[in-house]
Amino acid sequence: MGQHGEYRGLTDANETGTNEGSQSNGSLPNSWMFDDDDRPWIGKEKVTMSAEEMQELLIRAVKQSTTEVFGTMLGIEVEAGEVSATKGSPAPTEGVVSLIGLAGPWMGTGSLSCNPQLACKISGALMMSEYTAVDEEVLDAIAEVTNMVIGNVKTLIEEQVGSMGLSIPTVIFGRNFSTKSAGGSWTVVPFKCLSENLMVQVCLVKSSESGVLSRVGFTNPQFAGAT
Amino acid sequence: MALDVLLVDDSAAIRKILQRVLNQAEVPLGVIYEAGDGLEALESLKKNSVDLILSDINMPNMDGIQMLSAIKANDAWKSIPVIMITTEGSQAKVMEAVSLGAAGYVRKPFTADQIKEKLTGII
Repeated sequence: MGQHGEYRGLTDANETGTNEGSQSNGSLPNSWMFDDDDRPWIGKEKVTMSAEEMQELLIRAVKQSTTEVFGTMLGIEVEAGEVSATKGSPAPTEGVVSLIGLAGPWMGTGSLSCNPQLACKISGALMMSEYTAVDEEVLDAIAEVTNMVIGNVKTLIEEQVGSMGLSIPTVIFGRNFSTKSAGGSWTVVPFKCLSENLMVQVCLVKSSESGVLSRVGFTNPQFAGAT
Repeated sequence: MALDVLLVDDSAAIRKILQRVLNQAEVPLGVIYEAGDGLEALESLKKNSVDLILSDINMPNMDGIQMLSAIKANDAWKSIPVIMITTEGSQAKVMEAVSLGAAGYVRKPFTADQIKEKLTGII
């Protein structure tokens, strides 16, 4: 187990990495490093991934990261439900939705959403306080939980696909709204959390092979029609 | 000896949590200063003397790496231990923080024990 309590091993022990020596970088204290056993993708560099392989990676990374963040920072056990993939707008039309952008070899958005009651409970657990309604502190807390969950997903997947960046989270709270992602398929991982429904979802598409970082779903006219 | 600590994070929630975790870790605390980004942190250092800095990396205006670089380039501040606490887990970022003189690195999510462990030997 890593010194910082990072990622626990995945269920498939056969996928555990074995690249001993990969951390022999000289100047970096060992205690700062990650255990290879905890990061099964290390040593299996695979820059080119298909959308299906990425989805499989995302599912495991989301489950692992969400379980870790909620267990360590909130003391809350979450149970993953049946994963689905959907195009369009999978997010709820009311409640709290937190969005954070990812950019790099793959780019897109990560999202965490729940109803206001659960948002208050999560914030209460994080802040060791009690919230009866969604306010600035609740939105800030949900943003930070999203940052940790999707940030750790990013760390896990960038072992495979290369360095990625993370935006500052945006949190939306309200009713009768809709969200829409232009392009790409959402990997939706539902969780049962304190008897309520929590949804973590990620939409990633491969960046242009030309190296131009274009927004997901946005076709750069310069490359329109190019094969 | 009570430690005066500067907490640097764009999330007020995380600053509050860090303060709580430091208390749980039984760190003898003096004054706690807070900053929302690297620029605010440097402004705070001009006015306040601190014994320890806990800082996020990804922040608006000035990130933690830029802030660390500025602190280590300043004779009056360079001996202050800076621990980076962040979701940014890439080895490149860790290496960058090490090369700039960070005293430690903790990834979110973290526990009080992990913070305490990092502080042992530094303070």
